[in-house]
Amino acid sequence: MLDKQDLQKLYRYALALVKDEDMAYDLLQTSIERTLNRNMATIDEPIAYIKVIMRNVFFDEQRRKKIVPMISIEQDEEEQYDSENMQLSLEDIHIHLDDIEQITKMLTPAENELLYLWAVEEYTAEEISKLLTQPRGTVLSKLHRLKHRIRQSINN
Amino acid sequence: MNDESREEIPLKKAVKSYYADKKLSAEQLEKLSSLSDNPVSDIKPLRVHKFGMFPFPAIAASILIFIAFFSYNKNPDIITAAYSDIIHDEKLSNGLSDVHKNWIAVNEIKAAPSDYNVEMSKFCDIDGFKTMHLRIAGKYHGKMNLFFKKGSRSYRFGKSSGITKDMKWKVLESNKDITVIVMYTKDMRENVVNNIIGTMLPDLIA
Repeated sequence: MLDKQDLQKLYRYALALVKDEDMAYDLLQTSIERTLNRNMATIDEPIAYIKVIMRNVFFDEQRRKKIVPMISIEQDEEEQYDSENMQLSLEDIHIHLDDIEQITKMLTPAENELLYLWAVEEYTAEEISKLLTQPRGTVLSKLHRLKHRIRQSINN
Repeated sequence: MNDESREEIPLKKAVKSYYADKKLSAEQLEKLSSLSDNPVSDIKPLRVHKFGMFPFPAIAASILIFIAFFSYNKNPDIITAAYSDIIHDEKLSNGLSDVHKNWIAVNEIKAAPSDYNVEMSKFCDIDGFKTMHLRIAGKYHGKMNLFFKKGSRSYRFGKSSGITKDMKWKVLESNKDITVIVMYTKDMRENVVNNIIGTMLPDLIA
């Protein structure tokens, strides 16, 4: 069902969520097992399906441990204003290669996921919004916030 | 440190380069490939009646409810493997050896309350997880098995507690980066179980 390249790709996505290599492997294995327990004939895109399972398993566990970081509505609204121009400015950020690990450690799992989808998978805001089942405007706003968080991390 | 790491590069390129280095080991890749190629389950799709409609909606609904109930109550494979290990070592009675006592101390786990006898200790592999297994006898009756594993709670558990055959089980996590699977016979009182675990792992978080 999955070739080795697919597995490596899914592992990197898991790593973007959990940050820990052993737990990323554990998350991927769990998600594949759960996918195989479904009726495979009804799954058109196994990779996309496994990604969704991974997200659900990961965020369910985060909720169980009550460690999903909360972001205030006010903060969210304040950052909406120039969200349409955001992608361009995220492209403009330049960093030292050896700073990237520090940045991924500082970001929340949801932010790391977003960064991964934008940079590695090169998803558009539309594609991200489909995977996350969130409106495109919300995704743009989150990407905008991500830019601020990364700039903040670089300045620190 | 190479030259590229000292110069500034676009964020996208840096993130790609960071993740390009992250790979599954050959062993992990092999395991997942074989898992993916050999599905563990072979659930057949419900056959649709040739006239296009399932003839007995009530029966179909009952079957679906039964499947949902069965799936919800299915124990994780790790628990099934742990139960097999308990049965396998039922007769083993080596007490708490020095090597296991040392492992417990190194991992900041406290000793069991002195009223309770540690009957058996050993390292074992439970469905791919390296664990330290202890069997503790109840004061008057019952047995309790503890499987300590380093690291966070695996995603493979799904749920946190349940019943398998003649034993109850639960999975707990300590903020000392230890996960413990607790399995105990039904004649062991819940408060005794909690007392033993609470003594050994005072920093439980879930």
